Amino acid sequence: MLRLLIYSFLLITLACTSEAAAQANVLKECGSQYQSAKTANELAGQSWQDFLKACRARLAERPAEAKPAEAVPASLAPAITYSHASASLASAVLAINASGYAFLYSRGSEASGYGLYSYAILRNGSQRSAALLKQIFTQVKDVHSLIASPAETNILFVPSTKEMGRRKQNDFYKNEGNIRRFLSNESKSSAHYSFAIAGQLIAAICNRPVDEVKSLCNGDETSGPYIVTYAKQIGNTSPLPPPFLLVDLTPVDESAFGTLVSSYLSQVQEEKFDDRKKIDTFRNTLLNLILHSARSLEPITAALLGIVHQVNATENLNDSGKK
Amino acid sequence: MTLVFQITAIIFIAILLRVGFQIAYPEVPIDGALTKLFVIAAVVIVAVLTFVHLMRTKSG
Repeated sequence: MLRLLIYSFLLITLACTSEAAAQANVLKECGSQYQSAKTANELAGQSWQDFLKACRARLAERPAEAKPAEAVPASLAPAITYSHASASLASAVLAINASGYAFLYSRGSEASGYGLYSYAILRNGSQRSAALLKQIFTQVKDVHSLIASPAETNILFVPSTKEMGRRKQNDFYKNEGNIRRFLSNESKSSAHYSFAIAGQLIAAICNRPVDEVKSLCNGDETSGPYIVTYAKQIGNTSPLPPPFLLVDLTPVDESAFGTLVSSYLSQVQEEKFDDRKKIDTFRNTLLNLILHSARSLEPITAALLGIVHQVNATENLNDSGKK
Repeated sequence: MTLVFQITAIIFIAILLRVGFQIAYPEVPIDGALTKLFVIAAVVIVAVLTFVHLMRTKSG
């Protein structure tokens, strides 16, 4: 009997504790949402009590941790606590079967309904940027030529200044010279990469940035290129709750871009597109290490050759002096 | 270990490394810098093996 009483007491205590912990979690989450909404001036005169009431109702409706991204209204998105939004956005994504590229002519003009939205973000028109674009145009098909439905497609946007005919796009950008011209802004009449849209995308991503995108936000004009993937259109929402998939190619050797883009295309087809399982592999790390070692040998070899040349020249001078 | 044997070993190991790299990363082009790296790696491997061989014969 006594044992039964002790068990009952323990069960009641446990239930009370978990209830209290759940209440504390609700208060914590609503508190952080309130602070976020307050900072973004989105309270519209709402008091803390009203906000808490609405927030409690919202959380009660949400089944534990899994809620489709579509169910989150765009106006509420900035107020979502990032850590919780992370799981909900990740689970919203259907299995991605294919990736296709398209040009982005203005921020926010992305068509809705795609499974994932990706952006090729360049900060400069360097050889490295050209190498990434070449890999994209070689390995990724035009989104209009894909058989997969938009919901199963990862659309990879390349910001561009002008629209060009579909016929011209096919194979046009597979040529290295055309890619260089696309990046150089030489001809005002033809389409070229829009660094302005890329800048706007960076600004949207870096509005209250999460750790996943810190390297993009902290980078300068010489860093990059990058590929950013998100579950929704970046153009429509800011600040953006995670998850993101950021492929920062700053520390990667140019020759490894093909391997990295190929790993990225496999990664977006994973159930959790942001877990980087296919990108941060031993194979990719080893390749980068080998290529960096090979590049760092070049100045050493040049220096050694310089020393040998200098010694030979000095010896020749001494010999001619003796004669 | 004769010098001829060492040079043969260096060439063999360098070729092995190059072929191994090509199989592991078929999409990466092998340029002059990579070839130099493979040769240097082969030289280091042979140097280490020679050192170990010398130590063993000396102690034996």
